[in-house]
Amino acid sequence: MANPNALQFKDMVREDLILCDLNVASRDEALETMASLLVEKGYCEKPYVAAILDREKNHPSALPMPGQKIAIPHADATYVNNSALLFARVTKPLEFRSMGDPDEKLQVSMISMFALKEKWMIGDLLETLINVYQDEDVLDAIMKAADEKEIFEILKTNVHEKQKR
Amino acid sequence: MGVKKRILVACGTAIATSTVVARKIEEELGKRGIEITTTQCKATEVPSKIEGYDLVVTTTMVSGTGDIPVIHTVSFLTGIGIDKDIEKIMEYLK
Repeated sequence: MANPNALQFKDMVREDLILCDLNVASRDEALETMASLLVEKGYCEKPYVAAILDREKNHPSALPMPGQKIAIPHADATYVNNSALLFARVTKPLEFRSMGDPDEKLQVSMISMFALKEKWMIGDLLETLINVYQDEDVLDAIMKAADEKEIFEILKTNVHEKQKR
Repeated sequence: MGVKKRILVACGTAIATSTVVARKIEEELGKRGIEITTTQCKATEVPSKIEGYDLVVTTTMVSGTGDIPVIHTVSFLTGIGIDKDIEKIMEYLK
């Protein structure tokens, strides 16, 4: 059973965990930069970086949403101290492999990295995030946002938490 | 109504995406008055777990599914093509 006092998506979206212009050359550089930031901030232990890279290699996480291509890299809870959800909008789309078909390449513009200590939370959080991204207008607004603060506001106002079951 | 049909839902790691897919399938079929049960597993576990299931829905490649029908789709994540996949699922579960 879900704990009603548990962290919800809204609590997880933090302005200091949004990168609005990540300027990197490759998928792995993006993943490494993002995972390292979670390590730096104390959310994860150092091996989390390798775990994320490894997971993406074996289980691609890019998805073609109605508006943009996104990626949802995640690893298991092993190296997570505190749960975090890190967003990065990249300055130029990066080539990821598609979750549905690893032979298919997708040019990803928005990356959401999950580091979750509470494993059972991931279903709720991912479902909430997916629902946000399925709205083409919302994703479009995120892509056009001027800064972290604006992305933060868009995410906050467009999240509809699932009723706890 | 007869016995509830069983759907095996697979993704790469059985942590995240299969949870969302399983919920969406239950929700969409529920709207149409069809109750089913779902079980999540890793794509690599499909061959060892498939017995007794009526259908496999997976976000990634699976093998070793024998005669059991497989729907390979990310529609439940992207939102594109959900209705078509639900129709397919209903057809297989008849």
